[in-house]
Amino acid sequence: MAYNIVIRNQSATTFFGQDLPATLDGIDPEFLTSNVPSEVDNHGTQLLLMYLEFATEVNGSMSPVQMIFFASHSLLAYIRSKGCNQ
Amino acid sequence: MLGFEESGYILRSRYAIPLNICGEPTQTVQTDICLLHQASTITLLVQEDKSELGAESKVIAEAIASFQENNRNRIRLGKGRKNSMSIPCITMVGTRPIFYVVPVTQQLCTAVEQGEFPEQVTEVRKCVVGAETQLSDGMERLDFRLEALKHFALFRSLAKSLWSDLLAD
Repeated sequence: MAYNIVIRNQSATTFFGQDLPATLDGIDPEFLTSNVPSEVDNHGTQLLLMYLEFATEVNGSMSPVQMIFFASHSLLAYIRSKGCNQ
Repeated sequence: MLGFEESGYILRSRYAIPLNICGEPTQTVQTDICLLHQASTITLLVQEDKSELGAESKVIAEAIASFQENNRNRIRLGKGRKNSMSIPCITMVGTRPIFYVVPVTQQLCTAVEQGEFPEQVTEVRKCVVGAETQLSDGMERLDFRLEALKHFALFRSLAKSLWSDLLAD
């Protein structure tokens, strides 16, 4: 590669200096078990799954309708995170 | 969700970093996402691309630009220049994350600025999630997602240990 830069591919154990953890803390379990946003209770997790859905679509982009839907959900999630549920 | 962003850090998207390359100090590179510490130190770079090689070359250029920018800011703040910085980076090819540690030295930086080939080899370390799976696989697969999140959790610890060097006076 240019500028005498070489890339060394490493296993996770070598790269991190330790094995991957057996379990994960602080992650919504629904994010690890579901691919369907509408079946998930946590709003932040719903948004993440929607992101993943959009990111894995064949054309990789959102339609205007999807954008509006996503923006409204993001706004709702933000309002909820600020504790304004009324 | 993964705890990369803490008090004192700010996440920026489409952040342009000046890059002095081949005697042209007016070039810039644009990160997809970067994490800034107190608006003066670039601590993490994230780059998306359609291809692994494309993302890799972009993020390495961004790491070199970050070295230059961080040192400019250190001088502005009355701190000494650093001769080396290890910058943690993530590339996303689709929904597949790839993790890097890019060590940038003053020698590499000078070579880039002057358009010369440095004598010293720079070894970038890289870890691909699910290296044995197809390139098209990503976090939409539940088993892959768990694996990726475990990598992210360890990368956060690794990045934080690198930041303590990066931010030290």
